Amino acid sequence: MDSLATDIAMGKGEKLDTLAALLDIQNKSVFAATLQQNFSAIYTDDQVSSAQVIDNILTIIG
Amino acid sequence: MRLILVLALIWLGNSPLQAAIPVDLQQEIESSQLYRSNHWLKLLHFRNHQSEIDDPRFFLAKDGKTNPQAELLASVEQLIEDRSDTADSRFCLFISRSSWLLEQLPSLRKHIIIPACTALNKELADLKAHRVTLILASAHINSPASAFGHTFLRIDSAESTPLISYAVSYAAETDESNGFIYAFRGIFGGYIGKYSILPYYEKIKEYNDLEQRDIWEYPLNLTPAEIHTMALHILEIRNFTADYFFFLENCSYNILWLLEIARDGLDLTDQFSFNTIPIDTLRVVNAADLIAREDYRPSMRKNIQVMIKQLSDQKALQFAASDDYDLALLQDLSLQQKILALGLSIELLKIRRNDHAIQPGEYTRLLLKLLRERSKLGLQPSVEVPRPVSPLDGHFSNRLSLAVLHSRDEGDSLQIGLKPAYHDSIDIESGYLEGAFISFVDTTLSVSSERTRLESMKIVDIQSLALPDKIFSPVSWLAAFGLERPFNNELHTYLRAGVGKAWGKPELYGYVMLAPGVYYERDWISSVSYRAGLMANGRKLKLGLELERENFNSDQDVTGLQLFLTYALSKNLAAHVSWSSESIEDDAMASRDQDETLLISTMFYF
Repeated sequence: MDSLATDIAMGKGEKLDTLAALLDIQNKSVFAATLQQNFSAIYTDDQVSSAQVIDNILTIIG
Repeated sequence: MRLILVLALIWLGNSPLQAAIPVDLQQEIESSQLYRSNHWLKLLHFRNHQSEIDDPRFFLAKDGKTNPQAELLASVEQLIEDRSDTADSRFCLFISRSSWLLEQLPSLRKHIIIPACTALNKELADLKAHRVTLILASAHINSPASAFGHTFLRIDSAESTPLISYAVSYAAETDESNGFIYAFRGIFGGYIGKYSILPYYEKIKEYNDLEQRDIWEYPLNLTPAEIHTMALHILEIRNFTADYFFFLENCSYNILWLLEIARDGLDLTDQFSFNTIPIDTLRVVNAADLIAREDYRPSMRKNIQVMIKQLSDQKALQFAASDDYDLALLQDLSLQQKILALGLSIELLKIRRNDHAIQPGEYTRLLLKLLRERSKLGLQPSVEVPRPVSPLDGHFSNRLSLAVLHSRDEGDSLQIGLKPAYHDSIDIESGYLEGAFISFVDTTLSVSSERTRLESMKIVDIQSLALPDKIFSPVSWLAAFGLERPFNNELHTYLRAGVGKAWGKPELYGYVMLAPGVYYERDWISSVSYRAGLMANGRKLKLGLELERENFNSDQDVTGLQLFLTYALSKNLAAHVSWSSESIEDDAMASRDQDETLLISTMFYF
């Protein structure tokens, strides 16, 4: 979980690319920037589970 | 007439054609001499007249391990006899050889039932093999079991999602976490080796010491058909085991089989006879024109080093080195320094977690705090880690040296040295991990007009000279065991271990070491050695100076000064000159023996 969180916070990285591919995202840079800007809404607190993270991401990208 | 001939052949027993094989097939096999084909021998991992696979289930003929002809006939026979259509059908279980036989023997199709192999085909589809990348996880000196590095294959799909691709590797089946025990048992074939297919992210997790390893990736230029052949073979061979030998039949060596099977006409395994060092297999693969590209992924540690160098603001450094990351420290920093400070802190925090220096809950809390802050600062270019010299451009790791030694007191002699592995302090460092020296069974013979004798045998000799930076202050260390002549006469067995410090840059550094040791030759003696040295490294040139004082509990004190120069004439040929002065004082005899020597050596790497 922490490596994806790191990628999201940095706005780039291999885990983020993999996630974009899995979600079949066309515009990767917009995807990365959106997640970065919404970091606090994805990782709401230090108890957040992986499932919640995925749900939060899906909510954000609509 | 034809039938009689065939029958005669059977009766003569010269070629034991099986009765269950229809005549047309028998003829096809005989006329093609398929069992002599190189590809067939490779599918069976045949070398030196026998298969390297040790699992009896892999052979369908009783003498299949040594008789490729019997094995081929038994395989064909069983394909014909097995009318089942399950995952365990002969065809599916031996998918690699059966697919090949089907291709090579057109009439085979008429005589067998080709099962659906549903599970297998699903796996094949999951692999989505589109490209194969050879990966070198480079050496890591603090882990003896992987001191030479490790190679494996990554099967990439067409999309660029390496993390969800598969890693194919060959490894000893063991839970042994003690690297020394692992290495020891591994040397003598005490483990079973097996190919495995793992999700790449699982494979990467095995390297819990990944923070210190550079990764080199080599996408190979295999065609889709070659990749398919390889994939089928992986799916067959992973069901069987072979004895694992740490030095020869190891992870890197067995990866070569997969490449030979993928592309006909390659002879890669043949180039290794008594040891297979991962870095050498890369060079062999490169020489066979299989490598399309080279990608470098610096270790976490290298990234950290670069960030530390770029961190000029004292407050940023203070922030990164702290335990609780007080964000107030970052307030007045430039954007660039702020990003560096956060980036560095994140990496250091992960290292603290890997070292179990922090509670998991506390780790998550601090990490999220740092990441939250970092996410507000937008996208920034990553730090550029300077690319080291490629492992492909380093010397091979077997060394033969021929030298002339001139001793002021003892005259001239010829010195012949052989070192089967790997890289020591007089070798040019290009392509190797800096400051990490490992030798195995480094043996020197001296031949003069009076005598021929074993001068020394460094059975194991490891030295790690680690340079400090603004945050880390690693300990340098050495460990050595072997035979040598400490007072230039009798051969002693010795064991030595030491710790020290090093300072400087990889191009020029100094070190000091304190190394107690014990010697044995009829009696035990002990000693303490004090060493100080300087080392200068260039791409082709290396200079070294070492001063050593060794006090023995047996009245002798040895003081030595050594200066050396190594120059790379080509990648695998170097000239080495060394001058040394040594004095042996013996308090009991009240004597002092002083000698100077000059050594001029040619070193061949192969």
